[in-house]
Amino acid sequence: MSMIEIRNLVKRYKDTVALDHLNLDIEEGEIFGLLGPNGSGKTTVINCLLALLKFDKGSIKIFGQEMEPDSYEIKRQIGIVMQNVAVFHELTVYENIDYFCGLYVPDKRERKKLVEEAIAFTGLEGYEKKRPKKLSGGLLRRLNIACGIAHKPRLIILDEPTVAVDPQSRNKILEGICQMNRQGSTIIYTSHYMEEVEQICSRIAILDKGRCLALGTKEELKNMIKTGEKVHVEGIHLTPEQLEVICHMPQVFSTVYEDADLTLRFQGTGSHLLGLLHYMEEENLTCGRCFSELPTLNDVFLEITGKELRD
Amino acid sequence: MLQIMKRQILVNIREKSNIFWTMLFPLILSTLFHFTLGGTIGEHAMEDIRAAFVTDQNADSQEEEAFLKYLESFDQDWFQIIPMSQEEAREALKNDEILGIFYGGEEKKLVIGEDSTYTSILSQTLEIYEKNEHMLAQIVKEHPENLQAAAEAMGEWGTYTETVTFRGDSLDYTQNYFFALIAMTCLYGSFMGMYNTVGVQANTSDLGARLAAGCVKRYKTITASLLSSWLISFAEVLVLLFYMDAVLGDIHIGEQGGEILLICFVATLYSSSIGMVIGTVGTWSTNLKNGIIVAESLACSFAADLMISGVKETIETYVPVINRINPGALITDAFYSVLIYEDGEKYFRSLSLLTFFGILLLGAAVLSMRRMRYESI
Repeated sequence: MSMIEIRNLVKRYKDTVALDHLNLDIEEGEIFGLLGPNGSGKTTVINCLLALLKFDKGSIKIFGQEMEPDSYEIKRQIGIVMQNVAVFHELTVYENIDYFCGLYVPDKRERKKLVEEAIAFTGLEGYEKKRPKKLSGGLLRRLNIACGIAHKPRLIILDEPTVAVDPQSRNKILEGICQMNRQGSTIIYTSHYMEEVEQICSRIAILDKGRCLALGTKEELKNMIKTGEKVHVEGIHLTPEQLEVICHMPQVFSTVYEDADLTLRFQGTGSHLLGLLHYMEEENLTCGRCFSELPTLNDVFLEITGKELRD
Repeated sequence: MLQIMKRQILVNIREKSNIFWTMLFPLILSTLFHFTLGGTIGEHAMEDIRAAFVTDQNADSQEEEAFLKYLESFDQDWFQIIPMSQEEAREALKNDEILGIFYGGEEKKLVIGEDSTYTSILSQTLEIYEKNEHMLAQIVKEHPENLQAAAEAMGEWGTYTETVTFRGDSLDYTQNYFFALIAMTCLYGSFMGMYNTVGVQANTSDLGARLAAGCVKRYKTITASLLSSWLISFAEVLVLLFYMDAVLGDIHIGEQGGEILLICFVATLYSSSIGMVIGTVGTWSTNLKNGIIVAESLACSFAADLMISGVKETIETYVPVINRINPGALITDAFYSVLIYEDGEKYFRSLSLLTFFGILLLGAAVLSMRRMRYESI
């Protein structure tokens, strides 16, 4: 049995369909990524999961039980890190973590230990007595996370926790998420940053317009699409005849040539860069830069929806 | 629940702008009132009336003496008759040392100076004497046997009016301002009620969403939210009362502490509840809700005489129902009833109405807040 079962979930905001018959199963122990552009329905899924939002149709089960607003025993085992920083600006870092942890752990001594662990875990040592207003954006995000995970929940939901965070803090946060997962927590991670999702998630659901377009491991998702390799050549000047030849090279299924930049998409496995370089040598063609890359989740999204993930 | 409440109180106390407007601002205002209006307390008390008496050397000395005796019979701290020569009297009147000159003689006269404030009192004094003199002359002529009895009756001053005691305190219109200021401070409890409510609702704040997603039962969150705002606003009113009573001395609570505390307790329940109602209404921004509370508090305080004295009385004359629903008017009425008039009935009416509306608003707020799932967040 899955830890979370979402069946046929429909949520409408007047005429807008935010979730369109969504089905998801999330297994215990995984880092499950919800990937999609802004407005795709990621946060709506989270709010429905937490029983904060009414939905029009469908059901949600967590730990095998129907999730209701008064399912306090289920909620006790969930940690939530909101998209926006949700802390008290009048309390210090320590007091904030202690307060939110205290909602789940009444015992003072146990709580003290957990709060200290959360501070160490999120790298907030030395900032305990500071008020949130004195923290940088990255530290504030870490505090937001510490408040959500201090009580060591079985399920942790992180809704875009790295928005507007510097690379150093982002890496720290991502490392922390993996560590929490190793310690036994199941993670639901929403983001519109495909690199992050690709980096940490064991399974990914790609959402768009409230629908789940694809679901699987990153390898499974990439195998769903035609693109096997992408080759970029920058600063190359081609005649129409030369471009025609390139377009008809084996396994090329998409060619984009704009402003002296060429992008080729090859289907199937294997490297096709050498073949292209051979042709350029024969034709005495020069270029500024030439590289090959494997398909990303953005390519998956692009092929499925016809638009970029960040459009 | 206690933990949520403790934290909420800590948050409220540390919120500087909140504390400024709900506690420091009323304290500053009361200090300003003390130094501006406080100086006018007693300004309208009666000044001493000093007048001269000038004897007419050609008149009957017995008659002159009788007139002087009559004038001196008023001789109290506030009314003094000083016998003077004509020159001395004129000089004194010119220098504003006296307010008028009584001239003796067959035809008695009164000369008033430029300050005509007390003209009526002085002219009445002369008028009464002339009437009595005329009456006695009539009695001598028509019923000489009753002269003795008439003279005795005139000598006895009858009191036909009863002084209403204001608990020993004098009624002063400046009290309006101080009571209205206390009312305004009670009403400012709405800020705390609103902030705390916004902070625990998933559809109004991220913090609220975090709390609602947690495992604390809803009724505990609502109760903690109400109690913390109520207690803080009540404590703030207590601070103001102490300051106005013990430090500034503009109000004198004395033995009426119990009644005053009770009305403030109920008034802050009312204001916390109305703040909670505003906090639950829609997903408007906190700034807009703040604005609504400022407008509501000031409108109620204005109608309770905070800015201009006499507004409440005018409303009472034309639309009394407004005074029955305006918490500002109800609070000031209760204060008047306890500290000025000893009017238990009016106090009880104000207390009952505030309690009734407070509970009504609280019920509405709780009904709205107990919702746990929202259409949109």
